[in-house]
Amino acid sequence: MLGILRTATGNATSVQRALMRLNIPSTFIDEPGQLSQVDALIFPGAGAAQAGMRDLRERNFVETLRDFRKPFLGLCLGMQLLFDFSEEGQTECLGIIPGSVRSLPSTVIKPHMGWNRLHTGEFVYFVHGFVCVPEDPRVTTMTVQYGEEFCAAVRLKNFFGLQWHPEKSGAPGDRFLCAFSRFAERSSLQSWK
Amino acid sequence: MEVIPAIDLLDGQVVRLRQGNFDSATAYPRSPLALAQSYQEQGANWLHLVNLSSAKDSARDPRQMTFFCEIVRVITTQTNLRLQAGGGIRSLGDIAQLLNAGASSIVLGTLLFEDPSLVLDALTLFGREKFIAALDIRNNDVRIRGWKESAAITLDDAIRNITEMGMANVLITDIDRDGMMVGPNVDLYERLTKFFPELSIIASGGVRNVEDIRNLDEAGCGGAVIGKALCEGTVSLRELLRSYDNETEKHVTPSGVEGRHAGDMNDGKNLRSGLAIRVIPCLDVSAGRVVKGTRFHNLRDAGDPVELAGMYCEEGADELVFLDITATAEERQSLFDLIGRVAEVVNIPFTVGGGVRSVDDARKILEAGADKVAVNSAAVWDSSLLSDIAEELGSANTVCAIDAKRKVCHPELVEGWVVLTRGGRDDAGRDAVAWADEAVERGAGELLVTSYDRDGTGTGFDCELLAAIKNRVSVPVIASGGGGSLKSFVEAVRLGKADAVLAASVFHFGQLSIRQVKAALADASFQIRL
Repeated sequence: MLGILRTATGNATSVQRALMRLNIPSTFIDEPGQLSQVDALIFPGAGAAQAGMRDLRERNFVETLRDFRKPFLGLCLGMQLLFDFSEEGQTECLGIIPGSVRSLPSTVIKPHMGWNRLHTGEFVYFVHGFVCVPEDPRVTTMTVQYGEEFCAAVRLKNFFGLQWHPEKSGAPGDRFLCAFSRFAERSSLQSWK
Repeated sequence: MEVIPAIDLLDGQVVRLRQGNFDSATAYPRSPLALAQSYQEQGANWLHLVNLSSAKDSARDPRQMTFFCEIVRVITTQTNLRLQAGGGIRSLGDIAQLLNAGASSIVLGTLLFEDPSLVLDALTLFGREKFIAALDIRNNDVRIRGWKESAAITLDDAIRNITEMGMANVLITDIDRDGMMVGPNVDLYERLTKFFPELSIIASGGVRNVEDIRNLDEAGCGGAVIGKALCEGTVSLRELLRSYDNETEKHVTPSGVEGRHAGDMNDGKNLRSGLAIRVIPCLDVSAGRVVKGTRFHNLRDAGDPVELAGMYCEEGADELVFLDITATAEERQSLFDLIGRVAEVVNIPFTVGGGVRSVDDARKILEAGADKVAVNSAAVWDSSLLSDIAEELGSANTVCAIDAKRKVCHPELVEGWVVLTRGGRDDAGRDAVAWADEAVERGAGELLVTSYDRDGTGTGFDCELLAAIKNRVSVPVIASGGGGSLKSFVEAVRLGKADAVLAASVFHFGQLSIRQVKAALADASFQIRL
C-alpha cells in the first residue's frame, strides 16, 4: 500500500487517480500517525516552497519525514523540499539531500512547462520554475536540457525525487510509478539506514 | 580508455579463479582495502569489485550481500576510487544497498536473463547510467550462474536486448581467456565496437600488459578490466598506466563509465532543442457529448468524451483540451463528473474551459481532476479575474483562451483582429494582439488562440494572427481553428511560431490521426514526443 501525502497545495488527487489507473493500491496520509499503515510514501508537491514547508511544519511532518525509513518519492515541489534550501522565498527545506534549489536561468521562459526529453531520450511532462542542484552529482539519476542541463530526478538512500510529473507523463511516467510501487512492496521488510 | 583493476572476493578474501572455476581459487594475502589503496596510489580511478560468494551461493544467504556491502562501504569511504560492484545481485533491495554503500556502478549478469523486468525497474528507479551489463561468453555462447549454464542466446542477440533495455555499458568477459594470462580476445572486441558503436564496451579476460591495453584501446573499447596480472605482480598498475599515458595521453579524458555523459547518446537526433511541439485534440462538450460545428455553429455529435479521451491518449496526444460549450448551471455538475472520469483514464495533462466565471469555478475544475483551466469571455469582462485565478492556481495552470476575428475579410489585407466573446457571438471591441499581451501581464501562463474565421473550416490556421501574438508574448501559444491538411499544422508552427497545435474535426471525424500530424511535424524537423 502506497501512501499519498495530502497537503494544502499538492495535487494528491491527480496522483491517486494515476495509481488507480495503474491498479496500485493507495491511501491518503493526512497526519504522521498514519504512516505505519503504508509501505512507502509519495509526496506530490505543488505551489510555492514556503507554503509547502509551512504546511509540513504545521502538521508535524518535518521531523517525521527526515527520519522516514521507507521508500519515499517526492514529485516536483515534493522533490525540491528534500534539499537544504530553496531560493524560492528563501526557504529552509527538509535538508535530507545536500544541495539547494534555485531559479531557472534568466535566458529561458519560466516556468519550464511541457514535454521535454530526458537524457534517456524519453519525453516527460514538466511544470516548474525552480531546479534542484545536488551537492553530490552522483545522486542525480536523470537529467534534462532547458537552457542548461539540470537534474530531473534524484535518489539518496530511500529518498527518490522526480522534477517531472509521472502522473501526467504517458508511458515513462506509468513505468516509474509501477517500478516504485514494486520496489516499495519488496523492500517493505528491509530496514533502511 | 579506462584501465580498471579488478578484485574478486570469496568469503571476504581476495582471490583469482582460472576460467571461473571455484576449485581453482588462489587466495592472495592482502586485504581488499589494502589492495584497493595500493591501486589508487598507482593511479587507478575505478575499481571493479566482484563478490564471488554471492554469485556462487545459489541459496542466497542475505548476509553475503550485507558483508559485501560492508566491504564496498569501507573501500569507498577510505579511498577515492569509484566502484563497479557486482556478483550475485538478485533484487532491487540488493542494488539499493550497494548504491547506498557507495558503489558508483552496479554490474548485472545473471539477473539480466533471469528477471529482465526487475532490471528495467532498477534502470528506471536508480538511473540507467549506474548499470553495467556483464556478459560472460565462451565460444559465442553467453554463460550465466557462475558460467555454469548457458543463457541460450548468442552474444549479439544478448547485446541487442541489453541496448533495448537502455543500458549503454557492457562488460564482456571472454571466459576462455580469463585468468589464463594469454592476452585478450582483441578480434572479438574490435568486431563488437564496430557493430555496436553506441555502446561503451569494457573488455575483460586475459589482459597481461601494456601491449594488450593498447590493442584494446585501438579496438575501440571504453575500458579494460585487469585482475590476475596485477595480483600475480607480472605487471604493476603504475607501470601500465604510466606507459599507456605516455603513449596515448588518452587516459586523462573522462571516458569512464560515469564520466561518459548520458546526454551524449541522443545528440544526433535532437533536431530542435527544448520542448516538444504538442498536438492537442480539442473536445467541445455539450450535455455530456463531444460535438463539433463550423464557426461555432451547426453542431454535430462526435462521440463520448471519456472514450475519445482514452483513444487520443493511446494515439499519442500530448495534451487534451475540453471546452464546455453550452455551460448552463444544470450541466455544470455533469462537467465535473466528466472531468473526474477523464482524469481516471488519461496519463497526459488536460485543460478544461468553457463558462469559467470565477476563481471558485476554476478551483472546482482543478479539484475535479483537470490540470489547467482556460478562461475566455469572463477574463475580458472582469479585469481582475485572470490575475485572481493565476494567484490562486498558479500561472502555469491558467490558460487564457482568445477567440479572434479578422477585421477585414480580404485575405491579403490584414488590419488586425478583434476579440469575440460569448462563443463568437459578441465583438468585445478590443484588439486581439493587445489583449493577448494584457492577458499574459495579468497572469495567464499560456494562450489558446482560436481563429473564428478558420474554425471548423479546415482551411489552415491563421498564421499571421499567431505570429503577431507570438511576437508580443513570451508564454506558449496554442494554435486553434482551421487545422485541415498536414501542411497547415506544420505552417502553424513554422510561420505562426505556435508551441502547440489544436484541432477537433479532423481528429474526431478521422480525416487525420494524431500520429500523422506528429510525423509531418517531425519531417519538418520539429521536435515532437514520439
